[in-house]
Amino acid sequence: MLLSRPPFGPAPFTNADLLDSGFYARADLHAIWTHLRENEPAYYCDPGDGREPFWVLTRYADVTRVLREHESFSSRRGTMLCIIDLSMPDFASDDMMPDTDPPRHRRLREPLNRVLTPRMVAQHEPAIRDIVHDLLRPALDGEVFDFARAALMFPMAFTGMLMGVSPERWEHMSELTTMTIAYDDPDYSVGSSQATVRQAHHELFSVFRDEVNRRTQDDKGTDLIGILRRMSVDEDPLTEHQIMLNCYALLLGANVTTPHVISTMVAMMAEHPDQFRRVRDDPELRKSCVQEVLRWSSPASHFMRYAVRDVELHGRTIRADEPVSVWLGSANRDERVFRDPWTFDVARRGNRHVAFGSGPHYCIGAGLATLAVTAFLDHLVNLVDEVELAGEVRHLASNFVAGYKSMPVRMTASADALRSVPS
Amino acid sequence: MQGTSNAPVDAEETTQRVASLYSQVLEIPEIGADDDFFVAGGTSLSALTLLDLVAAEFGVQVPVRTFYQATSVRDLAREVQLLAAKG
Repeated sequence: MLLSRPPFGPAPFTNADLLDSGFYARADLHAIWTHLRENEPAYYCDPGDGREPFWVLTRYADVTRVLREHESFSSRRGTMLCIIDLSMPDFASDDMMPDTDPPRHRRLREPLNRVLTPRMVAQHEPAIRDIVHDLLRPALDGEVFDFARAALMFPMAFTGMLMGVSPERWEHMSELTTMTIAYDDPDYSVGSSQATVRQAHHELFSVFRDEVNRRTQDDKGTDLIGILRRMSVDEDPLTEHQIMLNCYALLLGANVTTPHVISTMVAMMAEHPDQFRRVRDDPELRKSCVQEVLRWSSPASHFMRYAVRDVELHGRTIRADEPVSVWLGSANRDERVFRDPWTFDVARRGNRHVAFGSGPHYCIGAGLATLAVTAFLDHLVNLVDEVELAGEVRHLASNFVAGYKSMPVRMTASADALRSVPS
Repeated sequence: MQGTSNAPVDAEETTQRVASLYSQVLEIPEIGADDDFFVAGGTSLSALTLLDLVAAEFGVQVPVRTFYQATSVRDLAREVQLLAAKG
């Protein structure tokens, strides 16, 4: 998805476009969202082809309200528009953490939270730094390097490690997770959209099942899969299905989003070399820089909820049982909340972005992702003096992920990098 | 080339046996040859069970990719026959 800025040209769209993944690869969604925020903050989108109509909310206040008010807006029937796009009802209700409501949600989340506390996550920092180093090293030879392609594997290396999945499976798993969100992208599709999503889910579930079965009853492991096997909800241990579904949710959350944060960071460094020199020279700015890149990239574009009761909003009535999509990328440019939202500012203060969502389903991996992106920034400013785009940037066809498929860049290695990398 | 004792004999019988596996997994009594696993209520999760049962019933491993291009009873039965014929 284009990360554009005003002034916007005309951005016509039809209701069906707002489901169409291909549209997200080529159209200017920020122009459309800006129009909707201003003129139709509660937009009723009827695709007009028999698929379920859904609401589109684009203002920060409405996005955060829907994500926080789980009594009015439920996650139990699925949280992504692909359910409507592909007319595939959710089968993970109440079993997969993202598709649960409190209080059940909390019972699933608490044990997982314990693996992802700052202290637990910090233990993985040295390994994550090695992964970052391995990602950047091939880019430092002065040749054109497709950074976005390489970045797609980045989170898999640390989630694979955390989950305890064998490394030889990582590359394929990374492709499978992309298939589930870019099912219409010709580079990822295998037959129909539905077949693409189902096949990818099936293959991922069977990897997780193998990983569960690989462990013995006595040695369940201390990694995430081990934790899931020891977990119980309402006194009962998780079923094999529940384990597979929650492994999938955790992997998807990391894999399809994080690559686009670091790709955006590289693109912004190419566009604003002055700001990155500031970040390099003043480590105090690294924290705000990471948050600004998160705001700017907003890789998870939307989340969906189903209204539980009638809700009045901006003079319209959202009826009980109607699906409501809330757009994080739009909320993160809301003029009502962010001063100069279209200015990329590594020193931005009070950055209350919602790239990780909001409310009970706030990204459980946010601490891990922030650590990984910070490690990436540290290496980037230490190893690279300059980045230039060296070819056409291509975007992922996905209505869920604002992401890159390809971003050819040329990086100029720093003196530090030349000292540390043998030629 | 010799199959195992429970290898499929003819297309008709294979189709019937595949249909009864669909019934078992989907927990519905009547499944026709042209019924599609997913239209009839299957999911990518229950498909794991289906392919396990197919392997146990016919002694062949249907690749995941093959299954997702052949999700009706008749099409899956044909793939099972082809795989069984290859040994």
